[in-house]
Amino acid sequence: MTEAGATTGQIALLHGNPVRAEALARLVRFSGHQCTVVKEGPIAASTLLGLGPDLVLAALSFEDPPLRQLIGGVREALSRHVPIILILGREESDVPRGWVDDIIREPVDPAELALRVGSILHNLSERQILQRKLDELLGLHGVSWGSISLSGGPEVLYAHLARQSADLLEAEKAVVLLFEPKAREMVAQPPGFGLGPEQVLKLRYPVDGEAKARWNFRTNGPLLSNDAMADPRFLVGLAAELRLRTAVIAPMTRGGRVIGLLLVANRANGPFRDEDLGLLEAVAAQAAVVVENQRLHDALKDAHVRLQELDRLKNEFVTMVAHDFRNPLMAIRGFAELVLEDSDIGADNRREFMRTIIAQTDDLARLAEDTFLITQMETGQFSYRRRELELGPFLLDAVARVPAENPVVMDVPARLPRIVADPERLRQVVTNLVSNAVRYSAANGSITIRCRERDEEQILLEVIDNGFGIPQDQMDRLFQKFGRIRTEEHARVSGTGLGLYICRLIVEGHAGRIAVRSEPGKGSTFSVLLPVNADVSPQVAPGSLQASAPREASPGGPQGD
Amino acid sequence: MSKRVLVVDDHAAARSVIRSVLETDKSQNFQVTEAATGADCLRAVEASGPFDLILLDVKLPDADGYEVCRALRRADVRAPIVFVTGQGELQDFTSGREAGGDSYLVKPVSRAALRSISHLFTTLQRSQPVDAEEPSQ
Repeated sequence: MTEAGATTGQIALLHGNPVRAEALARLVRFSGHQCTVVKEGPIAASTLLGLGPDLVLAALSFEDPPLRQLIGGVREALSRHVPIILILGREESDVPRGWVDDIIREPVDPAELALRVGSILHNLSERQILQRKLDELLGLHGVSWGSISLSGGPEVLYAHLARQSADLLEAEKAVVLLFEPKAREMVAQPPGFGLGPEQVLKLRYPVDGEAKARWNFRTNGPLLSNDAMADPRFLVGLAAELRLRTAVIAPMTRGGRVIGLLLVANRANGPFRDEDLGLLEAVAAQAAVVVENQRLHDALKDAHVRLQELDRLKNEFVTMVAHDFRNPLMAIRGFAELVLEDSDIGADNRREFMRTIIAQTDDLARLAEDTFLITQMETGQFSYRRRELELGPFLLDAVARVPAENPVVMDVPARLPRIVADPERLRQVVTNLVSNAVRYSAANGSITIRCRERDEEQILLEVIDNGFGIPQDQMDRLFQKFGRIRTEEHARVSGTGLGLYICRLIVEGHAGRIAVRSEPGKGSTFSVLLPVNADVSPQVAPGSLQASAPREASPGGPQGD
Repeated sequence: MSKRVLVVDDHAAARSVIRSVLETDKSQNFQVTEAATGADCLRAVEASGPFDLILLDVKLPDADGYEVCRALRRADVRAPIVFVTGQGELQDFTSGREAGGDSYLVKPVSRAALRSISHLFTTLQRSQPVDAEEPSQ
């Protein structure tokens, strides 16, 4: 360690009252420091920069330019931390500690002032010595931390950091640990240096729970132990497991958070010394910057890939939708031309053509609506308007909206609990399911709508048909975007392949599940399981990105009654 | 003498509008048969062919229109085949020609275009002996 107390430095004094400033400056000079009073006004900043002070002593009465802004500017211009001791008047309230290094209250005690100034300068010089030593060592080893290529990926970086740290401290083992917020653990990043792959894999350092009693790297800083196996500050068993005799662990800190640890163990010649601790601390500070850069680099790359994928899905969607717009447009245009220009078509034909035009316009409107809805739900911009519903009347109303000549059986008990749901969206689910049942059944096929209270919290709604049914190997496609069933019978029915996908989005948006069981030639049963009170469901649509990726047998699986 | 046209499209209203436009053309005597899928198309050709013209949607639920076209040519169907497709799906007509198609129409098809191209191709075919025509150029 350097000799204590004897450190002197260049100190700038900032005070709103020139007389008081001069008095304080005399006190400081008395301790052997050089001290310059900086006057308020436009040249304050350039004076301060010219001085390049080791420490600033300042009072809040210095207001032009504002003190905090001035200090921030100087720190930035000198690109180093210029420590500041704030002199607070008796009446002035505390300031947040973030930007000041120490506070002294008026009236200033000369001995206290000397002590505080001396201690900060001492720490500073110690840091500078370490930094110089680190720079020398790094130079010696030909290491330039900043120039490590991030495109090599995290593994290359962690290997590099571990090897360089071990080399610098002349140690046998080293490894980088990073904080994983989910597990609240520091997790070793492969590959380490001097450690086997399975050792690295096992190396985890919990920061919560019983760990709290041990060593808190955020508050206590780095840790040195020359008897690691017996050291209670270490994780029990860790030292033995990794065969650590001696160890130094330094936290990697960014913005006040410990993002990871740098562990170096088993010094080759003798025990670790205090200066090793300081050295590793300095290395860890640099490593933290590089690791964070690596993370940003990776995050950026991931985001790019994700965006490209989203873009591809969106393009695909637009292409499909554009295609689906053409057929109704073609029908509308053709029939309109016929009505307009062929004077000799009969009145019956004319009426028929106009009816088709109207029906096709409705189809177009529905397609536009579906497209809009899907886009909104997939990007998480959709919000449900929930309210309490009387399920019986609601279902009757919804089913009645589907034009069908098939016999429809309503198996709905008189007493059903009220449920909380978005009526408009839930109605869409019911009408979509019923209209599918009608369209994919023979003209006289019967359709049953059955609703049951499954338990106190869930409602089971089933739409049962005895139509074409769905081949087992195509079940998975069913609830996906454009996942139309490919059988000859299904192919003859026109559809966009969006209806069931929307049903799934809506049902899952209500924290429910949709499923189907079916047998080709016998019919299908679509079941919707809904929580009675769905107001806790996530607002963001499921699978924004995985929207058309295969979901394993997802809303498949029979539900049973 | 009637000209027999097979319309292949999975969209019912699209088929229906083509039928209406062609059958209301008093200058010609078009007689339209409809098919909703590629498989239906092949069956219709087998069961009620030959046709004088096949209007073939490119995007069918069970098959690609070009594949259907190739299958038709393999089955020695010599009727002119005109693809009916969306603008965006047709970068150029190369793949259609390679599959053995004769021309194309872009949806939404105007009444005039549909009638004139149907007229043209059914007349062309009639003006030549059937076996003199190459299946694909």
